[in-house]
Amino acid sequence: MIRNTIIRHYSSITATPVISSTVLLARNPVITRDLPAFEKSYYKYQNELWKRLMWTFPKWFYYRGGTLGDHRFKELNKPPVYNNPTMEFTDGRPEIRQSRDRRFKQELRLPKTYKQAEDGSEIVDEYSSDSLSRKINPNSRVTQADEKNDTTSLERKLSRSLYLVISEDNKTWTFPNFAVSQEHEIPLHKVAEDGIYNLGGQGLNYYNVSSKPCHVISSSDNNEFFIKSQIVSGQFKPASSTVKFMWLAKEELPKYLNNDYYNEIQHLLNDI
Amino acid sequence: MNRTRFFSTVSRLNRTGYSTVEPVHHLVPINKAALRPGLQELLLPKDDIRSPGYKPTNIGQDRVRDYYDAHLKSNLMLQLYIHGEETTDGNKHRSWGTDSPYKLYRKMRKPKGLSRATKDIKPIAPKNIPELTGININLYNREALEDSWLNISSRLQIAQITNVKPKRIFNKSNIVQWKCREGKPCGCKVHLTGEDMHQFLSTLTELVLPRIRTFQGISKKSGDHNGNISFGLSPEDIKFFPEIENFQELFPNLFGFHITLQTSARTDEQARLLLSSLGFPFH
Repeated sequence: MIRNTIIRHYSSITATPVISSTVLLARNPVITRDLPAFEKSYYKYQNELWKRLMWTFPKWFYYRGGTLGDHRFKELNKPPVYNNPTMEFTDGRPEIRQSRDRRFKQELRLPKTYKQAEDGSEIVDEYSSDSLSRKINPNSRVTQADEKNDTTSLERKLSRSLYLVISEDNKTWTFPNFAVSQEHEIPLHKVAEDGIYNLGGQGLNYYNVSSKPCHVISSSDNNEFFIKSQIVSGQFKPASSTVKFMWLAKEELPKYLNNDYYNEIQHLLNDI
Repeated sequence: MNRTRFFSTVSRLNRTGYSTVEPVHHLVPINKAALRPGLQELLLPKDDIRSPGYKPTNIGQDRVRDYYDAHLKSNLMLQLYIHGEETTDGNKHRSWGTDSPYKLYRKMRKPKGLSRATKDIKPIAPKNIPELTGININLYNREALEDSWLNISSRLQIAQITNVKPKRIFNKSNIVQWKCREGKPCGCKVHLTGEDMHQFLSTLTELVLPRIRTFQGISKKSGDHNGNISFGLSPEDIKFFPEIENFQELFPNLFGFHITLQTSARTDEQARLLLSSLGFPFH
């Protein structure tokens, strides 16, 4: 069932053209993309500029005078230096409006919903683990699979698209490719679907983006159509132990795929 | 220079204040005071750094934009592609005929079957993949017809949710039974684009809509045949916006509003495909 694309692609046997369906099974990114250093500094600059030009925080609306919230807010935010008319200020006279020095950006410290230590870290007590008001700690962007470099795991490279490649002899790696039988007229996407389920078990939940192929590589003896599909949940578990598989990002693929073949299809793969 | 026809040259020459500047007669009324050089910078858009009201727009990573550009665009292109498709003409306004001068200058006849014209549907290509172009929020506040101070509440609510200053809307007609008076303010509207739009979209699809118990999805019947889908939220649903939920005592009066999702899709089916991949369910 699995055909060796490279050998077929460069074979010189002239027979009736065979039609085959190749599945580009992708796992979409789970988290936001990693920003390049330039983009990161650009956003940081724009963000600081935005904060500098920001209107004064309407404290009188969100923390009304005399309330408990107002008390907590005042504890955290000490008023700026008073514009004393009798004093001389060496680095410019403060311009105070609504207890903000308008010469600088306004730095706010809002009361937290959890108990805080002096250094800003959360004080953990026995009730805080399941409390709704606990501090939200985001998970790490780097997973265990990344540290172990486990290429068979779906939890690696969370910010990138991963593509399924398989191998029978552990040497030549290809995308899953299935021949379309000449007798039974089964459509390309159906062939791809049945092939993936036979190869990777029923514990896989995936869908074809479209029944239309997104690319074709034509040679004298073969027409290889590409079906784009995405994994939603589950795991790819090969039925036979001889089949090896990997989930690889775009820049890792040229190491395993044939060079000409990769150049032919690289525009189909996502950079993110 | 044009020759000016004078009926009496003598009187004109004797006049003291004679201007040599030809008067300019505009076909459209122009407020010349607003053309002063000193006011020119006020005409600049707010995202131009020369504008006095400059506000930076690209202040952070926009994940909805990233998702659309990297994944959705190519998928939509593949899904909507039809081999050998040709341009389908839309339902246009029709001519009354040319056999009479009365028909020639008459207002165009309405489109066949529909009250509104539809656009031509062109074959899908990289340049016309459906895209979310804007979100329009319209809040008609009926209660404000009696208590006009509720207009402020409704504008504050929308500003709190969307991060954009809303515009006031006014009644257009007199309807005595509904206490409508022409020119009376009755709610607000806001048009979201760019980062604010994506922020509102992800709040709506991830935090608000999943928590509405009765919400099954946007109606499949919704749409204006041109790729714009509308739906409404009731005052009870507004409570789920985190900006409102955390300050409930500040917003004692909440008002429902209508949301129109404007897309560049040519048909409602295409728009639904785009919106469902952005996280809106349909039923």
